[in-house]
Amino acid sequence: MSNIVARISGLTVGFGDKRAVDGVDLQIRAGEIVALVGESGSGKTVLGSCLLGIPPAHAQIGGTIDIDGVDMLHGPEKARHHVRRHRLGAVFQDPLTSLDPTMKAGAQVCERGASDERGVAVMAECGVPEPEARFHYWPHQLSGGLRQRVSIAGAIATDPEEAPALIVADEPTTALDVSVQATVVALFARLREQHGCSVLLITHDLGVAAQIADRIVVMSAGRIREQGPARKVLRSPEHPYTRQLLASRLDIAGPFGAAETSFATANPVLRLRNITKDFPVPHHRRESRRVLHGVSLDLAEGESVALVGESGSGKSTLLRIAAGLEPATGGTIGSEADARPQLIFQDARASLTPWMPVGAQIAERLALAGVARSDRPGRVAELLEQVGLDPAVARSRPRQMSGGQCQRAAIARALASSPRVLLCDEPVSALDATLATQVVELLDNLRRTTGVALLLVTHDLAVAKRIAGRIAVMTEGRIVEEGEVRRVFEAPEHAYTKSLLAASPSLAAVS
Amino acid sequence: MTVATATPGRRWFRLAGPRRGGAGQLELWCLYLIVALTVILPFAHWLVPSGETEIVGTPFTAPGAQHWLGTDEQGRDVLSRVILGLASSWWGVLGIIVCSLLIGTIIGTIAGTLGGWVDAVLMRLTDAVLALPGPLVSLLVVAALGPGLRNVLLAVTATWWPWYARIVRSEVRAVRVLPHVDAARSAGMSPLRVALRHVLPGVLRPIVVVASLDVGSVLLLLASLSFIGLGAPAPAAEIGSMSAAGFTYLFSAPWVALAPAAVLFTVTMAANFAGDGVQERIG
Repeated sequence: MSNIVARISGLTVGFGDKRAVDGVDLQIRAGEIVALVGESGSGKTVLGSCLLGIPPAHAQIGGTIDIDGVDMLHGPEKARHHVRRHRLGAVFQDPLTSLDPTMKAGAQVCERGASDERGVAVMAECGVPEPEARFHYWPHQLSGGLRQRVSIAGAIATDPEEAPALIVADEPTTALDVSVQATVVALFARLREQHGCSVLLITHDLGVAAQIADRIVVMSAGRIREQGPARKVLRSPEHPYTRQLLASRLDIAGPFGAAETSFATANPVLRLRNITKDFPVPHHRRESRRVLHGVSLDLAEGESVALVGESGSGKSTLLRIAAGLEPATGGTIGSEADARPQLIFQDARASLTPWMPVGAQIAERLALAGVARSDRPGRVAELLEQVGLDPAVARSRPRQMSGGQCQRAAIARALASSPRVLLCDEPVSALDATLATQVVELLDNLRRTTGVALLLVTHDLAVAKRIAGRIAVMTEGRIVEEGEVRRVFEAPEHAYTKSLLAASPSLAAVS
Repeated sequence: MTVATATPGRRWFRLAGPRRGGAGQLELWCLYLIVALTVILPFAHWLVPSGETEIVGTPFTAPGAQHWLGTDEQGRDVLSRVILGLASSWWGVLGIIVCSLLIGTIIGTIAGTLGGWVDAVLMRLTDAVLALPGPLVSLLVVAALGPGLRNVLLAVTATWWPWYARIVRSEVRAVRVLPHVDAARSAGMSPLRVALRHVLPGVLRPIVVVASLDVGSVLLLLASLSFIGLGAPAPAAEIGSMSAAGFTYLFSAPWVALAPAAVLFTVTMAANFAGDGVQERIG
């Protein structure tokens, strides 16, 4: 077939005796958007870098990748270079690190030989407002969404061809806010329509895949488990792994998980009143920037409240103030004497002290809470069991544990202080879908069984829907809408809430 | 754009990069040597063939079966004196590094933990000491207090600790903003406990690496001070002063000056390689 852009046959990538990719055959047709979906460690990123002809160092590689008749794995370097320069475009997850901080935006867009005029035109096409001005900006002067647009512009500004035949995009939306995500995904669809370029979209999120992919390829443990038209894979998955992925995904079209817990907040266990927070502006001694504008929020015993907002909305700052890690500029924090609010962090591994065994960290908290030395080992084992871990984990250090185990251990450690409030900062956004669901369910169970109140900061409305009884929507340092979860989802009042809901990727979009 | 082709063709890169596994044997043996010296040198007095000031033969006897490194201008055994000299310097080196580490770690931790004006005062003090030319200040201090090993230790430690204080302070500041420290603070632990259990262990690694790389430099500094006559007074055996004394007879009896110099060179090199080894292993 002549309209195949890239043909991968029998690709195997090994590191020592481990195989990251294990006998993969995949063809990408002209003008097709293929989503490569898998959890971390499935080999999807390694496959993407092989496709670009830059396989990981020290890997043993077998099979072939054919683009324009050039073998991207074993062909002559000059030919592969030519293909990369003229036929391929690459977009990476984190535009802050993938853009060169010492080169202006325009210079990076035109790095493959495009003229300045074409660079500006491509930036405009990628939705960069005022491209002539932004052409001369440094990467750090651009927001995350704009950086990703510049990086996409760089990927399509080949020369002299109009656009590359294939764009390889590795998690291009993962680091972006939900509303920005949606526009970047739409941008890929538009580029395909205008230039006919194919896109290989590597993602962990079936929702993003559902938004634009023609074909979905599901990978796990280095093998392709299932592939087919997007609708078919999402509607009637054949492989058990795909079914498990679909079932475990938290979706905003999913059921309400804790709608019954919206309590009258007459006797709250945590009371935030008119909290304001100013941060000093660097290099300006007398100036300050206000990030919280008089935020009030109550949390009743056994209740779960989701604080939803995008990056920079001030939601994490509010949580740190509630945890006592940051002083508020104004307002009052009232909590009952025995509330002992405990924080759960996004990066669980980093929130555990690296050189202490997990059991010792839990025991340390027990000591603070006044538990006698002889009772501590038994209590540590109980807590670990309560979060679904084997008590033997107590002797492990964080680096010996998986991401999911770390988050469970961190929850066990927080519970050691017998708190009445758990403050969770994006507790599942660093976890794979299956693990994320498990941790969300664990938190929900703990709330039901122990009556601990949850205040959960998240950017993901699906997580909020699954776990919260009440939702507070934050933007620019203010709570713009607050109410029972069912009411907020079914009849949002504020325009910002509506836009958030509309932008959230959902499998329901496939219908 | 460089391209990592499958397997071959990158060996040069690996040799230039950090070594793993079997490589670095030299560093490892040097590390063993340094550890062995630390263990053996305290017992040097029982191991040497003759005493520090004992006259065992005719002056300037050439190295031979009886006196492996010959005798000096007074007829004392050079081998014995070199070993005893190294032993006394070795204690000096360890003393200086341990004392500097303690002072530097305490000051650096206090500055990094408390921040604010405490940090400013301590760090300006550190900067002030760093701004002085170290060896010259040591020289002045020793000249003022009088020669002798204890005064030399005081003098060198006084100018050596700021390096450690600076490193510890910046490492403490870097570790303090990590999430696990926030977690400890939010649990209501005392600042002292947070500093000792959740911050300091993360700082030890880099500071131990720096200290191990300093062993050679301090040894050399002590020998230099002794060479110009600021070490222990005359009859005592010291590497630097022995070299200086032997200098006069460099052509007639080269072993008197060269034996201590060669030992100093070897041990300093070994200490530097051992420091590299420590850095590769834990740094």
